[in-house]
Amino acid sequence: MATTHIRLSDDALLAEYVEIEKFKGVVEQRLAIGPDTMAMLIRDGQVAQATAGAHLSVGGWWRTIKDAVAGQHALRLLIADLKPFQLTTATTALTRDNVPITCEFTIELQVNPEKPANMLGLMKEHGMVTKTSILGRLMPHLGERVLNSGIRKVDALEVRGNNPLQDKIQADVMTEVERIAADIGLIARVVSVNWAFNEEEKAMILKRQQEREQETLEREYKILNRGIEREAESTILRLKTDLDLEKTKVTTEDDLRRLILANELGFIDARETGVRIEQLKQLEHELNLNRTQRLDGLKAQLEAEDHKIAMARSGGERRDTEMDIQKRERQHDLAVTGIRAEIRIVERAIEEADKKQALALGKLEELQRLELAARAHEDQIKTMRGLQDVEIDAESRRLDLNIKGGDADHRRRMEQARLAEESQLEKIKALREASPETILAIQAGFSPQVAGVMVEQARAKAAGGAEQMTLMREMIQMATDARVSSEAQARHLFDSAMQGTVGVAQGVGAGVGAGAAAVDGRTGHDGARGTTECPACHRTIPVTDRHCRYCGRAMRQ
Amino acid sequence: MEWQPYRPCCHRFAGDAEVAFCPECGHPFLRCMAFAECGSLVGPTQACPVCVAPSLMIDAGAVVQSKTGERVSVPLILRNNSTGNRPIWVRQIVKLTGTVEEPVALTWEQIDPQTERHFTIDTPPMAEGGTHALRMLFVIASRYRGLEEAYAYAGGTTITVSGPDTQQVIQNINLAGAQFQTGGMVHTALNTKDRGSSAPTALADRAVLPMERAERYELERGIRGYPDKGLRVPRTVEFAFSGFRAAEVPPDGTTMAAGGRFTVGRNSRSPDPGANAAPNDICLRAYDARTGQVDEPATLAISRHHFDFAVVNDRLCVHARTTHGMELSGAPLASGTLVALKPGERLVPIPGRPDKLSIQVAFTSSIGSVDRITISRTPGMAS
Repeated sequence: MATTHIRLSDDALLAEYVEIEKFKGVVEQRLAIGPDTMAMLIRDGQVAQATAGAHLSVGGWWRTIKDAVAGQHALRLLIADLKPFQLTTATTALTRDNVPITCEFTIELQVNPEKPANMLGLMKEHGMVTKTSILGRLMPHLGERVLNSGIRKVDALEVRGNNPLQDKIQADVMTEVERIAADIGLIARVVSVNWAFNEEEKAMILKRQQEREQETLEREYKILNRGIEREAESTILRLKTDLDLEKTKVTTEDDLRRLILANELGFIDARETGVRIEQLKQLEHELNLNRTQRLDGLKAQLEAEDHKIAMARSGGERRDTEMDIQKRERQHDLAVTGIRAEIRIVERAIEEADKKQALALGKLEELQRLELAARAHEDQIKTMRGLQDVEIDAESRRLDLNIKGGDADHRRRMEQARLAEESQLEKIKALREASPETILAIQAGFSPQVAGVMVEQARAKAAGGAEQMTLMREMIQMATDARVSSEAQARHLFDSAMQGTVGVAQGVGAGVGAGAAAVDGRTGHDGARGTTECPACHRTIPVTDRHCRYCGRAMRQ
Repeated sequence: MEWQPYRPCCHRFAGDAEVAFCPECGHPFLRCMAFAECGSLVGPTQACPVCVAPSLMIDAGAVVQSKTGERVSVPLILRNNSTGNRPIWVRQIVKLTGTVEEPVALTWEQIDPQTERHFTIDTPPMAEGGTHALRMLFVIASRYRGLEEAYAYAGGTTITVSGPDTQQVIQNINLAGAQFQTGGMVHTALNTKDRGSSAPTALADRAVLPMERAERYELERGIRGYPDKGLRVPRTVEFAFSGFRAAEVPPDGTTMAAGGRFTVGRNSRSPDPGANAAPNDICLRAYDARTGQVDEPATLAISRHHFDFAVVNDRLCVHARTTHGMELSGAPLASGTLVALKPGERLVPIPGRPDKLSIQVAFTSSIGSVDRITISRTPGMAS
């Protein structure tokens, strides 16, 4: 047995009653309702069952017999769309400064599957409910309770960009929609508000609103038209089954033919009547449509004029506002200039104080620097004095050592001289009886000068210098003839003899010395300049250096 | 040889830059690299007392007392006490917190003689009471004609941190003639003994803080010496030469006494006012290995004054002078470059021709100090 799927007759419908009676018959009918559609079965005035989706069985011979014996139940089936749907509408409110601001509300609703019975509050007795008709219940509350109460408290300039205020109004709209929708079995899912502040935005919203209204009107017209068609079809022929069957049983063929004719006439009349009614309704709809369009046109013109007036008023108010703002800006500039002048005065005072402080600090730093420099100078002087003291001490010690060394050296020389004198005296005493030649020969072994005399004597002999030899003999004879009776006499004799011989010997010795120096040049000892050569690095250094100043070699101990 | 301090006679003769040893006592003279300006003698590893004379002071108004949990900001002064008109360069100031080194951000670098610079050291919050040491390290350099000697000094001060307030409140309750339950009047008096204000006091005048040389830090951070080997090259290090002809090098055991550097180049060691006005300490010439004669084309590639050996920052350095180029371990050295030599590194005076002439250095060390540096040339020449 085939199952008939029942769904809403139009997508724009939210809920409608299904005429379940037309499915009743001798043959059982099975009806299926989809899971996205709520089915509410009302039996005998009470909600018997309300579920998302259903499968019903209607009619049948057994139920017909049962209905005939026990009486029929009054059954009604209400189906509603469970899918969320979106509604959009716009409204206008005035701000505190009487500037109209347009808001476009977009509301998403859904039939509450938990409370299906509340849907009955929406339904008309024999009608259907469109989705757009819900707006009629919501908008008066939103416009007055929410939008006007929120916008009227502020000026137009304070609304634009005022996100907290816009969010608050959106939240209020959501709360109000939830409150209203709950009573009629709907759930408010989302609410958003679109704001229009300038003329272009407002025009766009109004245009969309008019398009939506036009679309709604056309859709409602189609629904109405389809209902009329269905009504007409349903009235074409309805057999009064029981009565006609009884009549068929009891009448003759003529009666039956007459009955058929009467039925045909009635059928034709009914059809013509239905067609006329439909034509009348079409005419009425056209008239209503024309009237509505004309009214809309007039209303649009009126709104345009009102808009111009409002614009002119708004322009004047804007000009006033701008002048006020300019005035306030000028006043603000004056105040800022005054504050800057005061700041400058304070800054100058601070700068003067800073300069004074900097001068004082500079003075202090200078004094401190001078003090430090003086301390450093004192330290330097102390250090230099200490170094000088050390040097002086060392020098004095060295001088002491030199003096002591000199004294010791002097004493040693004096002792040596004394000992030499004594030995000479002893020699003279010993040579008192000796001949001059013997004396000279002995003296030559002790003194280079005497040796020089001997050499000179030999030369004189070789040269045959009679005078020199005579002189020498006289000198020797004088020494021989003299009777040395005392030490002083011997010393005088010795000195007299030596003066003569030394004078000769010195000349000889100088010549010999010069020759020797010319022969021996390896010592490098320059007595005139006081320099010598380092044997290690072969560089010239002063003879007074204990160490070579270039290579560090020790020159003397 | 143990280093002895200079004697007064040394200072008398040190003024003559040609004199390398004191003629009186034979003490070798080690001169500061900026001797021409400071006229000061130095020790083997010591800084020049005239060129590098920093002084650390804590500024007047500094607060060196705090409470636990507080931070302290200490204003300090670094002064250049040089009496020889020598500036110093502060390369780094480090604050030591435990073992952590925190560099102090400085906006200045140079301190002119007899001037000072200010900086501030911030301490972390003092967690515990007591005396905390604020330790700092200063890396200070002296520069003269492309040479820089850097030294590290350690200094610091102490900060006294008082503990948490342990003031005790003693409350005496006197029951005057009645029991407590009967509503008798109770007199209470807080016995708070005022122990005096513990507010920190600021220093009235600046105070000098001691500074001492941080030799270990210098070595560990590579400021001076060879940190990887823990070696220092003193200025009195002896040199030995291998592979040179006797007339080309000083005798073994020579030190860089007089000039503080060995000049190396093609010029001979013999001074001659006419022919060789600038004699070198080490004469470098290339020889034909087969005949032993001078390889003239290769020798002419060596400049008259090719490079210097110098001891800078306790490291043996080569100071390139030639404009013909030279190589150190394969890397080119531009004229004026000062590079520290490591033991075993090879100097090639003629770029790309190590077969003609190359010089290698080797160290002989004992207890962290290099005693002798042997300079060898390859190919070696018989004496």
